[in-house]
Amino acid sequence: MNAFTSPQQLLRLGIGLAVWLLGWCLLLFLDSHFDPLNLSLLLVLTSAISALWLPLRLTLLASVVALIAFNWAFVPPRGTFAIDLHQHTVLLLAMLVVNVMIAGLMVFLRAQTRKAQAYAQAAEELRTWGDKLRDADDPHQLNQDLYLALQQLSASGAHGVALVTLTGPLPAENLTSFLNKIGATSAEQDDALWHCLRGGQALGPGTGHYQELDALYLPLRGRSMTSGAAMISGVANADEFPSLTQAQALCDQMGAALERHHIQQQERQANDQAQAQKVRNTLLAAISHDYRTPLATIMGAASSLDQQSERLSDSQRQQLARSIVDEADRLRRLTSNVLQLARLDAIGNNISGDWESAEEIVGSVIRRMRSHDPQQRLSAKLEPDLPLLWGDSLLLSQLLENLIDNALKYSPPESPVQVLAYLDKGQLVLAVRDQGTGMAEEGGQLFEVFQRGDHRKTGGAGVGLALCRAIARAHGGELEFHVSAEGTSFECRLPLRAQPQNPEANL
Amino acid sequence: MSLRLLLVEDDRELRATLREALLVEGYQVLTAASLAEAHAMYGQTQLGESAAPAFDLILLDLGLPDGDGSELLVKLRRKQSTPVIIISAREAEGQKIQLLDEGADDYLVKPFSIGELLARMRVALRHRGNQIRAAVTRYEQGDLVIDLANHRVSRNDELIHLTPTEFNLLARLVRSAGQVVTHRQLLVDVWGQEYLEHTHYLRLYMGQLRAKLEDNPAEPQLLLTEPGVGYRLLDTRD
Repeated sequence: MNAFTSPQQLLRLGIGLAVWLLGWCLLLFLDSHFDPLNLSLLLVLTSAISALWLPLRLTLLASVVALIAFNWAFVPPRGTFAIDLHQHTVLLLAMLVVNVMIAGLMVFLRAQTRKAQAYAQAAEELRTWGDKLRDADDPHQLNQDLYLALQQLSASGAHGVALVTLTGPLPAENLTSFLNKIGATSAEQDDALWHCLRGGQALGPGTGHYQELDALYLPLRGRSMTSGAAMISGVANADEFPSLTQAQALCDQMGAALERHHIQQQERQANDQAQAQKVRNTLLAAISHDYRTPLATIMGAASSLDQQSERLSDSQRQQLARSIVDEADRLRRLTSNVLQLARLDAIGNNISGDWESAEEIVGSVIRRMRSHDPQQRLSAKLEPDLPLLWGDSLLLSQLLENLIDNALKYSPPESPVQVLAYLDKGQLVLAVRDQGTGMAEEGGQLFEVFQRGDHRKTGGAGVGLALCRAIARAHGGELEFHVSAEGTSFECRLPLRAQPQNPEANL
Repeated sequence: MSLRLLLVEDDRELRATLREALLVEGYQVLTAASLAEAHAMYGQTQLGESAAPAFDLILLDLGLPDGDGSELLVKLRRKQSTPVIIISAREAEGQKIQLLDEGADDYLVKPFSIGELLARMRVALRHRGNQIRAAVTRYEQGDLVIDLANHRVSRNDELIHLTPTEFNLLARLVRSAGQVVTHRQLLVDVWGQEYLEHTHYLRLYMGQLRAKLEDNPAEPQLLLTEPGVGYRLLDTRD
């Protein structure tokens, strides 16, 4: 009789019996005031009310017993089961029929109500679960929620629950490293979970597949893929876990959400790739444009030397050779910029740093740039006793070289170009200032690789500036530029680190 | 007798161009396009003149069709001290430093100008000579005189005071004047093996040396920085 074992059911039983007890007390109390006909209605009423709580069989049994007792106690001749009048027989029979009908209807009604409530509750549960999944950025974060919901469905607590979701695409072999798992499982159960995941089919009692298993395995199914599986263990037959449909519905909602998430991710990746491809294409276009100009000069000068040599004067030949050297040097710088840009793109912020001195970097760059600066436009101004900076000196040199090269090219001829190093707001600033104002209208797009300014005659600044910014950022700093009436200033701001221990001063 | 060079370079155009340019300068140039060819060349000439080194200087490309030029450098360094200048398209500092530490005399990144190459070759050849003759003990450049034997550094006959560490550092550079000396070599030779990681010592002392020796420390003309690799004291003949 396990139907009467839960405390709730015992309570219902108690209330039903109490109603009967009350009814009989009332009957006995009213016995002297009313005739049996009236009292019989009271009996019908009691039976109807008790049917609200008691199960069908018990209600019927109680009705029959009550009728017999009523017959014994109230129907003359009292104290016997005999019936005097035919009309009393009719009364009792009618009462029996009415009681049975009422009890049946009541129980049926109760069952309907219970079902409706259960449906409503299940529907509500699914709805809130659906909302939750929709709101989640990554449904994987809700694994724990689903796990708890499944645990709640196995209300008696007799069942163990485990939940696995795929962390990536379905692997060729059953490896637990591909799974996100909550709950404990045996190796056998793991196999069943994988089987369920791969097949996308529920397994276990009541599912129509592998009925002999002692656990339920429910796939988390989407439209076209299964993203995980849940296990509810300790289910020997279908009756032991009546909420199978509900559990599967919860799992499927999760599966759909995971699939949606997966598709969104794929879309995003595809978008990112397309974007990266676009940037690369524009970059390639910009680079090949920048290469063309010096190549054209080299081609022109070299072919002139090749084909017109005897008609050229010595100084003309000298000049052509000179321009080949200059343009080749420009190509060298351009190539180096492109290579570094690609390298920085690959390594991100993992530059190989060392303690470097700003004076040294500025000094070596200025020395090298002197060959492009016959008019001595370049000068350096460094704050004394600058702290050391942590970084890659080759990259920082390249940054300064590019900025100086641009400044020499794009500012008015013979105007000075200044290289500065100073401390500002806890940052070390490497700056290049010139008297050009041409950069003003380009604004923030100046640094975009492909957004080359309209300096087509001189070319090559786009890739160079993009590299400068990438270098500054790889050092945890930023490249800024300011334009005023006096000129343009590019500032590379680098964060300072705690300085290393210096050797004894007297050494 | 003119100096004998071995040029190991796989690119035909560059090999021909360099060969012509070096011939013009009066060198005797033998060329090899691969590691195997270089080995063979070395073996053959070695047989002929077994006592003396086969070449006075080797120009070595790294990316060769049958292997890396550095293999030849390592093998060569086990036996002799023929100057080797690396010419390579690879710009990674790490490799530059490694090759210099392995015994390469200099490292030129392609593309380079002939003038640059000739200058580096002159320095390398001079230092080879130094190993036979007495070591450099005196460095003169403009007004500046560095006399290592007497621990004297002066400008216009005016004595410049250097701390012992400053002097040791300067002396190390003078002994390799014109050549790159890597951070590692400087730290080991001046401070000792355990100071390998202390690059910031170099920054500090080079700063002090420049303040004392350079006309304009912000734009050094003598104590030159090779970013990421090391330092070079200006060659007296540059």
